[in-house]
Amino acid sequence: MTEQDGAPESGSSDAAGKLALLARQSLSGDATRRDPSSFAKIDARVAQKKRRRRTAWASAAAVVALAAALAVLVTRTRSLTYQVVNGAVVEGSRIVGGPSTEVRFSDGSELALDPGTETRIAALDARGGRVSLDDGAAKVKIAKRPGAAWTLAAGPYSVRVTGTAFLLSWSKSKQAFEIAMTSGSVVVSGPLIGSGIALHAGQRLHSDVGTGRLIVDDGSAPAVAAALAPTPSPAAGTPAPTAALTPASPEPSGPASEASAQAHVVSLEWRKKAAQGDFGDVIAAAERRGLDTTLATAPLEDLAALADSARYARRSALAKRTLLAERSRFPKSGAARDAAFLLGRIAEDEGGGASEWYDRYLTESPQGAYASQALGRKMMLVYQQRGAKAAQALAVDYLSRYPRGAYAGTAKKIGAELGAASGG
Amino acid sequence: MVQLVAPAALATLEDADLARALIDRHPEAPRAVWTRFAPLVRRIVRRSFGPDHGVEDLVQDVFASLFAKPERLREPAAFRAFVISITLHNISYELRRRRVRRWVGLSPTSELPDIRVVESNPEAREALARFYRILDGVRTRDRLAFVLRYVDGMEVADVARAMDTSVPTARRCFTRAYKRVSLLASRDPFLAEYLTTLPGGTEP
Repeated sequence: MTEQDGAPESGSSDAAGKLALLARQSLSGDATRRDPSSFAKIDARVAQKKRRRRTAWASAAAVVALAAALAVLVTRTRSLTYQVVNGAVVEGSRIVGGPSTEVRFSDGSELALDPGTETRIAALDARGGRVSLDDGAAKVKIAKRPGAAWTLAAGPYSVRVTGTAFLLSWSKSKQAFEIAMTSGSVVVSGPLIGSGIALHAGQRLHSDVGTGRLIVDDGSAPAVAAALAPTPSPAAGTPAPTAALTPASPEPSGPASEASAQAHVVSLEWRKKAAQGDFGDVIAAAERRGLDTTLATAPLEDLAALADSARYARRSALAKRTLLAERSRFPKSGAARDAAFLLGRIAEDEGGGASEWYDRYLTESPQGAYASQALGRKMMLVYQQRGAKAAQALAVDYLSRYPRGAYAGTAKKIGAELGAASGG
Repeated sequence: MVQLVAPAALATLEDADLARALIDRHPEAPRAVWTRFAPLVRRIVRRSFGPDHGVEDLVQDVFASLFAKPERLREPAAFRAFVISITLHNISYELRRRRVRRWVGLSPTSELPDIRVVESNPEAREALARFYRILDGVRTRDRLAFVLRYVDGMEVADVARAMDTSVPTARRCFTRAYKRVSLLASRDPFLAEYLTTLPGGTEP
């Protein structure tokens, strides 16, 4: 064997070379005797090849479809998972929010917890889960998926979600619930609400179980329905339909008379109608009784229902009169304090005096349900009327108190505007 | 009976022009291509599988592949190399298929040899059978390179072109096969004895 670049030369004389030569000599015939029939079969071979190719593609497609179906099945039947990021304290399913804590679920849903917020992942399945917000606030974003089913419990309230984003908070100490919708829709149920109320993008619901106050704010037409609900039973923690009224209202003394019982029934009726959106019915009932009489004699809960109905029905003059009646007749009540903010909203719509009412509200209720809105709206008014420099202190105050509030963007814009001006 | 006479106009064409006729779907082009290349394809197939295997089905497969998509030929001037390349592709596929059948315990093939070996010497026939059994144990790619280089007598560059690889790679393939065949043949008592009776290698 000779080598050329390590390769034996063709026709080498060792075993492989001799065998190759033997094969060459033995298998050299071209044997054309079968050519005619062999050539005639080629068309059939081509057709057979095409059939095989089609079958192979069909088989491959079937395998891919089966694999996809299995993947979907596995995905759908596998429970969601979650991970907690950014320094939360986690004990089993209990999560306490630290700075910038987020809970990220495998379906893309997220909870951004405020510092100190306590939550529990109560249950997870393939379609969603049940998350309990025990205390604090969270920004919730539920991924939109077919069949998604999430429930967020906040204290005694329950929020059913299919795919949306909102801010959710529950204060255990104040027994206050709030949800502010960013997108999508949810159904909220719980005390003061009953079986459920649907909320849509831009709406906000605030419920104060302690005072029995329920507010639905649609964003553009600020505060909406208010229903004074019974105070929760201390034993059960949930309100009974015939329980006592809010602490701000006059306490009935001694056995209830027929007249007071009638008034109570009326109060429940107005409150219920206002909560259901039957504002015209409430106003009509007040007008039947006589507006002056109603404003002078109706209990606080009726006045609140009438004021809210009037505002919702765009009867600003009637709303203003009713709110002023609340403040003059029940000056120490929570409803009277809230009336200051609502009067500010009406004044804002009418073109003057809003800032004074917002100031009054912030003085009387610095931690009230409308405090963030009052401060934010005042900042907006000052900014629009007197410019960024005049609104700077309000913006700083707002950002320090409500860094994630609805007006935080404007507050930051004011700061940026001033920064750019001083830089230039 | 089908007359296997290509029309004169096509039969006299150069390979490149015949390839263009095939690509243009000339109705007589397949028969002309068959007439010109069937002996080449049949020879390579026979020398790749040995005397005990039928070749006609595989030869038909090669031409079926060629006629099904002739537009795959980008360079008509390289028509011959293209035909050999398709032949090797089909042989590779068949060798692998037979190897799998052996692994799973099936007979390598149910086909009967359709062309008898010209060799009338029973010892030579036995030697050929043992030689191809040795080749069955060689890697498919190395086996094809060995057959093209030593059995068919191709130049190294042609082997590389037919296998669509570089010359050094083709050389490594057939060298590896050559060494393995030599080793295994030297361990086979019959072959060791028989090969001593044969003259040394001559020109291919």
